[in-house]
Amino acid sequence: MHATNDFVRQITRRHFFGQTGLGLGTAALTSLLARDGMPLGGTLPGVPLGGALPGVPHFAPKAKRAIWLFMAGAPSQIDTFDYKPKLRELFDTDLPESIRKGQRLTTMTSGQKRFPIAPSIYDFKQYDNGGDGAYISELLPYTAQMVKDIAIVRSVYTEAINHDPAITFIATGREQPGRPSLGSWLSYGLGSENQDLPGFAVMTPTWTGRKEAQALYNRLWGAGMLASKHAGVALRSQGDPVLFLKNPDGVDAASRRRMLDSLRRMNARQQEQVGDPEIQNRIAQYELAYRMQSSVPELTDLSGEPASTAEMYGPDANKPGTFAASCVLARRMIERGVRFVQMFHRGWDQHFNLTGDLPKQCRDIDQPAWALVQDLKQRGLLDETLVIWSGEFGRTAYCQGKLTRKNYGRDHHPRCFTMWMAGGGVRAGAVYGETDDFSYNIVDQPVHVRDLNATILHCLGIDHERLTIPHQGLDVRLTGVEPARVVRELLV
Amino acid sequence: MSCATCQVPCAVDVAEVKSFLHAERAAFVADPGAAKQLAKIGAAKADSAVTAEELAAWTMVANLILNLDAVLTRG
Repeated sequence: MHATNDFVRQITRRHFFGQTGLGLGTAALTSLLARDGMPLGGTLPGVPLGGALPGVPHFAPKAKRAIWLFMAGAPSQIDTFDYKPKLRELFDTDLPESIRKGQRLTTMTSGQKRFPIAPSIYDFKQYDNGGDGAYISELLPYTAQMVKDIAIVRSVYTEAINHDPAITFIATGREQPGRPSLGSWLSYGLGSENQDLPGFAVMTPTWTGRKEAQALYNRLWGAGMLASKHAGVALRSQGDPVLFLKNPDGVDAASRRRMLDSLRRMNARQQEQVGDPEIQNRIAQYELAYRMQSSVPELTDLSGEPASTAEMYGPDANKPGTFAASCVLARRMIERGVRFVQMFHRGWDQHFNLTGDLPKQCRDIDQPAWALVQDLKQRGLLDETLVIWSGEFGRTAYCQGKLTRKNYGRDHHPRCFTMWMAGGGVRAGAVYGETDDFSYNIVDQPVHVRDLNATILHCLGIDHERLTIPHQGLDVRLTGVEPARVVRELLV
Repeated sequence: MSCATCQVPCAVDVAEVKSFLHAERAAFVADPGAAKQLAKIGAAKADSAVTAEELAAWTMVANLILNLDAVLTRG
């Protein structure tokens, strides 16, 4: 909540109960309000992360939880989903100015004398999606098997042309840092279903394409000006999923509990004196950390998983830290009521050696993403879970660097890219939006990344215009200040 | 505690830390094996003049103080 509002509320409660801020009376009020679903700082050990805001969800949701499979680096849409057979005849011809229409270039290709078309060397087939069919390239055979389950959008666009602003934009609603991420908004608005695990979990799995890849920033899962307890918790992909979660040798749970109880009391007194609402967040997060000492080992213990899990998710499923293993964990998190899981798979920035690296990247994610959707379906969870797959922008039809018949590179392209969604609220089998023959401009049904976020919030029962927080005179929201629409044609 | 928090501790906090120290002492005296394990951690060699139970109890007190919001957030 807004820092000043929190402080004023504390003074009011203190006055109302006629005693110091966190004495018995306030504790009673806290528990009563928590029971009634009203938000408070979560100082009570029973409710560290808190429940939903009053009135949220704004209407009955289709999905209660979501998973975002984020392909950081920007996958080439031309080699995966956006089939452009006419480009075959245009190999090594220049991108017409009538198509480019003055689109700004990055410094990586602005020095090139030519912008020769690089058609995809991959074959596309049309797959039955219960409608007009969907074309998928040979690089994604498993995804091709589930075109009946997913809605593909080929007309997403952004303005950002470089990774940092673009990924910050799609993740937080603004190119400049400082805004809360989608997961934080969901934690703030909807609360957590499981007080023993983070409401917003993040994983950063390994990848097999070229090792050097764009960095990630923890602001991508940051809480911005929301209470810091709503920030995503990133699980490490190697070694202990959470560092220093285990107690040191010689310290048992009872000792840890005593220390945490003393800590909470002392911090609570500090809060009374200083009035900083962030202290409540610290108390809440320490409480969550204590619970995670038991809940995270349980979550990551795959010994109870049936053999069919590894078969479905593929050979990487049992290799901790891979995308496949992370998908298994994502399903387990959803089963345990984690509100939002976001996976950032790096390595998709194919500026060169696309035919060397892209197949490896696709192999990393194709079967596990398919398996995740099927697994959720089989467990009866897909109707309540929204699964999203996307990068941060698209890639150019023209070649960056040396163009040969066997290899090429593609630069960044904000004007169109492809994403897919599945699950709660999504019109399965839909193919939405169209680009021109060069996969350069959108010709039909554009979807701004703002619109995408508005649509995601809608599936979860949230009106993107009503979930806001006052900050510096503005009612901040995920979709920003410009109009954004829910793409109802994608939804049931 | 004053050094770590840059504040003079109030009587309630001093009492809290004292009571925590006593509880930890009692726990480690009852479980000397645990005390030895905790006392062994760290790069510096333990002072042989101090018992493992005492060292372990004070380690937990240090853990408590160093995790205080007042220590982690400079005022």
